[in-house]
Amino acid sequence: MDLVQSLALGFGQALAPANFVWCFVGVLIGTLVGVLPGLGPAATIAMLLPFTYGLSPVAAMIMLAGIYYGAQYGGSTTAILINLPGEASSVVTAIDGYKMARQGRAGTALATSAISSFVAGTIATILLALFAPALAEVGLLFGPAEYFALMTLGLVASILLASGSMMKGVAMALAGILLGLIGQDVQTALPRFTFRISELEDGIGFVVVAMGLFGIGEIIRDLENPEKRIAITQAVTGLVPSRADLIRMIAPTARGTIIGSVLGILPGGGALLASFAAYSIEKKIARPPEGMGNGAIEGVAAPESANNAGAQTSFVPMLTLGIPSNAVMALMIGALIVQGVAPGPTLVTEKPEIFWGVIASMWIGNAMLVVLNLPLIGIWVRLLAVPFAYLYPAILLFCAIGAFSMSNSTFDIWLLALFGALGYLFAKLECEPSPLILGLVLGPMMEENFRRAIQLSKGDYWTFLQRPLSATLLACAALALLVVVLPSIRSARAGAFTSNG
Amino acid sequence: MQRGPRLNIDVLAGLLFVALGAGFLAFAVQLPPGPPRRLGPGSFPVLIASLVIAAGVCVAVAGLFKRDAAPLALDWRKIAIIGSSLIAFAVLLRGAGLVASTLALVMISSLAHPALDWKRALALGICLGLFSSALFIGLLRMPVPVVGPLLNFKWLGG
Repeated sequence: MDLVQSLALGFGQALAPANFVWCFVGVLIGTLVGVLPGLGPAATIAMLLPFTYGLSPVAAMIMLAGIYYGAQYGGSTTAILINLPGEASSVVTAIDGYKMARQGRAGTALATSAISSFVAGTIATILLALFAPALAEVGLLFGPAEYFALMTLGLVASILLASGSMMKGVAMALAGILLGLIGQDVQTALPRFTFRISELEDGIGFVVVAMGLFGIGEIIRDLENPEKRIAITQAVTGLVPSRADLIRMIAPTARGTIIGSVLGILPGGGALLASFAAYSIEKKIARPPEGMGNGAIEGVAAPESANNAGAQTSFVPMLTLGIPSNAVMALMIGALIVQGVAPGPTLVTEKPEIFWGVIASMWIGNAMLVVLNLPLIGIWVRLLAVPFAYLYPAILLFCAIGAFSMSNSTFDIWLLALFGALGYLFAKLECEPSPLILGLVLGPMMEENFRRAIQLSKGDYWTFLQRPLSATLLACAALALLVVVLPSIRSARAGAFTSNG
Repeated sequence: MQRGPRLNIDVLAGLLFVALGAGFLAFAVQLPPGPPRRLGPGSFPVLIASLVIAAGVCVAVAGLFKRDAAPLALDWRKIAIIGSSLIAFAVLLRGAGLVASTLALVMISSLAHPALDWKRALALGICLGLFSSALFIGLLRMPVPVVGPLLNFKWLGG
């Protein structure tokens, strides 16, 4: 199938009335979530995932994808208006964006964010359509050893990007794999770590874990200082940027798009890394008259285009290899599996309607964001005024109902409470939950591929290093770990010496 | 010599991982490991559990030498409130129905926020209960009653 045919199929899917509506619902909910602080895209997708079971696989993926990039968009809106990034990836947007708002140029900043996001989204969609099928063909050459190695690399990458201590990230990822082993063994159907609890035989639902760790845990943490008040005073005007502003946007948007697209494809990459990298490069290259950090339009255009491009190209490893590059993508994999679709390189050829439908819907969704959100900004701003006191019981309720709907079992609500408490504990222990979620989703796949690889090699563990592709991937993982571990070993040793001396 | 608290968050995090790994390892060694050529259900869990323990030890030991690591301060009351609000919801859902269990969840969880007195919580709970009943039971056909058999009150009169 050539590109034009494929894209035609994709747009046919994405423009089908039902899918179009779900795309709209997705970006709307996503923006809402992005605007509301304290509820990230991972928690929201986890919360809404059970309700997508009734949808077709294409519609479910389109809506969940819409939530993801809609949330990026909503996050930048609050970053600009009230210096409160709704999402981690819009932290750098707040630097110049909020300054612009303080100078009375909030409308221009919001428009810049919308336009550069849209342009980046369009270009990233084209790149995705061009390169993803080729990557899927490489994926077809993969055997179990290569898959195991690739998943290891993906886990390592998620650890590198987790904030805080590296060793804790490793431990969290491994703990996630361990939790993923709960339930019946795939090959022998022997129940493992179930303690004779029949609800545990199917394993712990990753959705419940994600809701607990990201959603409930975050609520408990926010409740510790409930007196956070938010004040929005500026009226948003001047949504149409001037010609001079538009011209100034071009170069940073182009740079941001390239950086975002590349970083998004890397395992473990995605929107967060992309926006930070784009901003720091802009700081080196651009010479805005007011200086970066003082309300420069470049400081909004570059990270916004980068995080949108990154968010979209991070679907590449997920859709073509079945390897999630971050917690949100891990949830997407889970959604596919629940829908009975096996993620992996065969997805492109066997379920082209899902693959191309999702890609085409991204472009449509981005267009919806521009058309809808600029006029709707007034509503989003008013939503910010909803006090947290009324918000958190509702979030708790939706999480509980979502957990129950997974398999119509109240046991999952008990698990939700347990993982909520754990999520709070992890936050207090400065252990980021993303590697754990990724490990939980990848764990069963890793074990299966590990065992199959050993079986194929007749018990030879060196097979992982003897096969060139697998060896290369594992070497990359080891190298990446070493690069980050070494300085921390050195500083730990230095600390030990000084405290002895 | 040791300036920070001995049981700082890094040491505690490490111990948590060690405990988790050890707990899984204790059960994993009872699973059949299988012959080397065809690994059984036990071998991969043993490997991963051992690695979790090793990583936990590394985290804990590094934490012992860290001087600026903070001690652990948990708000147990908030954990208990939020946890029990969810558990109350789980216990009541089938018997009392979605409205009553939502009300219980909101009333209990409101204890965690000073701005939510019982009157506001009651109003919020009823609103959310009705809204979620309409959305999840009415529209999305969630298989739970709006008002459960426990609240039927027929059993009172006999």
